[in-house]
Amino acid sequence: MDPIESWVDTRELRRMADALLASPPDPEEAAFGTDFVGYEVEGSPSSRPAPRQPATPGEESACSTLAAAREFAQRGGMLEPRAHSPGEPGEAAELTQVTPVAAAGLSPPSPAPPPFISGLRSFGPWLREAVQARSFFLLDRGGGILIDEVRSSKLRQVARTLAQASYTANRQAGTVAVGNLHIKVAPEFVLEVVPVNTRHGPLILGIIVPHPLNSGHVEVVARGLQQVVNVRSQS
Amino acid sequence: MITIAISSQKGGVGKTTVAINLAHAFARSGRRTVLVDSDPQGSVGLSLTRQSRRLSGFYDLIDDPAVCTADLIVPTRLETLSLVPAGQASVYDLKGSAPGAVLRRLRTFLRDLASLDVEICIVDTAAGFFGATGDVLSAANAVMVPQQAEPLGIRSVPKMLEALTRMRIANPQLVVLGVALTMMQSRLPESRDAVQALRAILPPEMVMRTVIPRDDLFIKASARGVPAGVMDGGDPMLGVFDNLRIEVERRLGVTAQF
Repeated sequence: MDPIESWVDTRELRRMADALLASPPDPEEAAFGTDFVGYEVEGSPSSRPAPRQPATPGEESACSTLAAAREFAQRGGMLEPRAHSPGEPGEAAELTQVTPVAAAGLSPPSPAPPPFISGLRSFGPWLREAVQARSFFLLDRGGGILIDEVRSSKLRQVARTLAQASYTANRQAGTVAVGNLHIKVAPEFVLEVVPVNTRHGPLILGIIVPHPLNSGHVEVVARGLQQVVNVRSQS
Repeated sequence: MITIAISSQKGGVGKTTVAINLAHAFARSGRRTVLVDSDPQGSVGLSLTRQSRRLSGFYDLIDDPAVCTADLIVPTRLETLSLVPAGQASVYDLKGSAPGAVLRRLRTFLRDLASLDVEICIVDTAAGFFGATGDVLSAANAVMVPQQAEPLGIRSVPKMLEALTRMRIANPQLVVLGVALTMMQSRLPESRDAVQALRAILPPEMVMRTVIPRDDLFIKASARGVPAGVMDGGDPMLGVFDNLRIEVERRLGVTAQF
């Protein structure tokens, strides 16, 4: 009789068990604990403004979908009404420098970036408006960087580990986001990790925010990202 | 002081039984032991004392930092064993509190216990690894995961390991003692096969050698409000949990002095 082997990935099970039995990381390498104050030195969210570029059709499309998501959230009472929309003049100074992988040449030669990358340029300002995000990054499930304003390899690694553990555990959740996790990474900042299923596949959104997001805000953020990615993935 | 959380993804796997009887075993060995009930259902209290529904406890302290830890400790007939019931506060939701407030109070609670010369703190948790249990795991030194010695129980081990992996991010020093197989029915091939299958897949350090049998004695003990080893005919159970205690001590690398 086989009570387990045909039901589970035994290699993955063994890998997780071995990892759990491994010695705890060097305290200097450990991500969290009672004294953890974050990665302020390495991963300080950049505040340098990026030059405002003319909106591409992709960005305009992303703006409209995000506007729809915001309206949905406001009608549902999950967001306060705002005086202006993302992408309007005056917001350029708040933009952090966006370093899409292809543009920054941060990764080895790879296939062309996904079609929704241009739409993510509007997603950052929208996040700042919606949840007071300081900066964000977006990874594919394999950990590939789609966009990264935070520029901390440790935070990306933490987000990926948390998201992968969360994905399977919350597979049956039936919500847009499959479970969010937040961890304090500095005295004033929290890393909010939101795994999101999209037409491009599972993506891992990491957001630096001043406070943990409640479930309503997480839902709004996840829907916003989903709409940006799914709209552009279809074109 | 060493804090050991008894946690699992699923309910009904024997967490409270393991927590009660393991705490009893540590106390019998001479360790000053406190058994903390962090399960909102108050399972430990319901098993061991009729007054549990009136006593203040763990959730009252979490809800109100002015509550004194020493006032929550309930002595038992065994001098080295005390309880902290779940308490009366029913809402584990500190709306308006700063992020991390609950975890800070929990850590303060554990420090208070240590200052009272408690050597072992066993925390019985609610099912799942989120909420109160997540905070307990973030503050604990070690975790033991009871799991039924049945095919269904064994098949949920992957989710359990994933959750523990996530918890290690928040508490890198958390020692995973391993799976404690419970409700073993040695006369049932499916139960024996489940145990063997799990041992074949996981490294030996991840599965306790001691297996807890399914036994009516646990139900009878709960009815009387005592650990199983105290019951007539309970000597074999004393031996089982003494063995479990020795395994835990070995895995934690502890000697006569903590």
